Amino acid sequence: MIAIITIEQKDSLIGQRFDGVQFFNPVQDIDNNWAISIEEINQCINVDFQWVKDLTLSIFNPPLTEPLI
Amino acid sequence: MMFGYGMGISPTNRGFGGGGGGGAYTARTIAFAAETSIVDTTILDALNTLDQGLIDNSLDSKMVALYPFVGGTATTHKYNFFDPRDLDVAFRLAFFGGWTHSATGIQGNGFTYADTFLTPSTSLSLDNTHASIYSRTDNTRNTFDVWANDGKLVLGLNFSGTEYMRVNQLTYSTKVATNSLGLGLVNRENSTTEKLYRNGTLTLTSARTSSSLSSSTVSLGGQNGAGISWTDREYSFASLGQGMTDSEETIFYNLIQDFQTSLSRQV
Repeated sequence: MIAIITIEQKDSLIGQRFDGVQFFNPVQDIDNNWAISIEEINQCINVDFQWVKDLTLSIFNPPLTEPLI
Repeated sequence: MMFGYGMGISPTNRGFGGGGGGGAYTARTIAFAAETSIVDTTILDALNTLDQGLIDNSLDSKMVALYPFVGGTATTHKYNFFDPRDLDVAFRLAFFGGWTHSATGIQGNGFTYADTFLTPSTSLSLDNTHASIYSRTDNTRNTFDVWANDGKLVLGLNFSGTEYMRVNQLTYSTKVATNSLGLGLVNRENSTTEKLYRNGTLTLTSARTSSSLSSSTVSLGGQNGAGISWTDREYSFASLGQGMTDSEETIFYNLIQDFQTSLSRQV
């Protein structure tokens, strides 16, 4: 499960720790929406980013991948 | 050598009444325990036995970074056993995404990787390199398990049914993957040959001439890119360092498997 976030929210999360040790890692789905994982949300104890707890969860639709050459 | 961390343990006095091999803890075990605050003697005995085995077989000098993933938290899992300082220059891991940390290791979720901060061009040697990782998860994914961002150091245990290897050059060597379990190790000990081992067995020898070392840092769990995604496997060990002979690799695997067995997390 993931939560879709805005570009502004994505920019605010990059380089920030969600539990004092681990960094947020926003990723893009097949529609180029930015998203963070439920594990990042559940483990988030950073007081500056408690708003992630209010995000709506959904299924992640990954980007299409190409065979390796 | 005595470390002054005030942990109450020393090479000659374990201080925990621990059992294990009955010998003193190595300086590295003491330093790691001090930095991580791990006091569980099962873990410390396992680390000490591993380190003593590396020392006894002259394999310790081949290690640059060794991640035992013990203690069950992101904080204890991030440290390099061979330089347990909380610094990038000590190759302390930075975890990205929602890893789940437990006594069995670090579990990815498909959005996760870990940066070692180790740049091969400054920390490894062109014709003398190894990378290893121990997976407890058997699956098929479009993911590499060890990856330098310019692609010159690659270990893929099971990338869409194929094992992948590159060591200090840019052509893949591959074989059919049977699973993604256990210790995978890619190795170069000369300018002409790369080798891939799985669980102590040499599974692929490839004539690939070395070209140059990666100038990008090495990640565990892959890196996003065209056709590549991040890992959702659970890892319980990783290492980077100098190359090994076939016999040294066998010894190394046995030490790692004994280490995992002593922690009841072997596969």
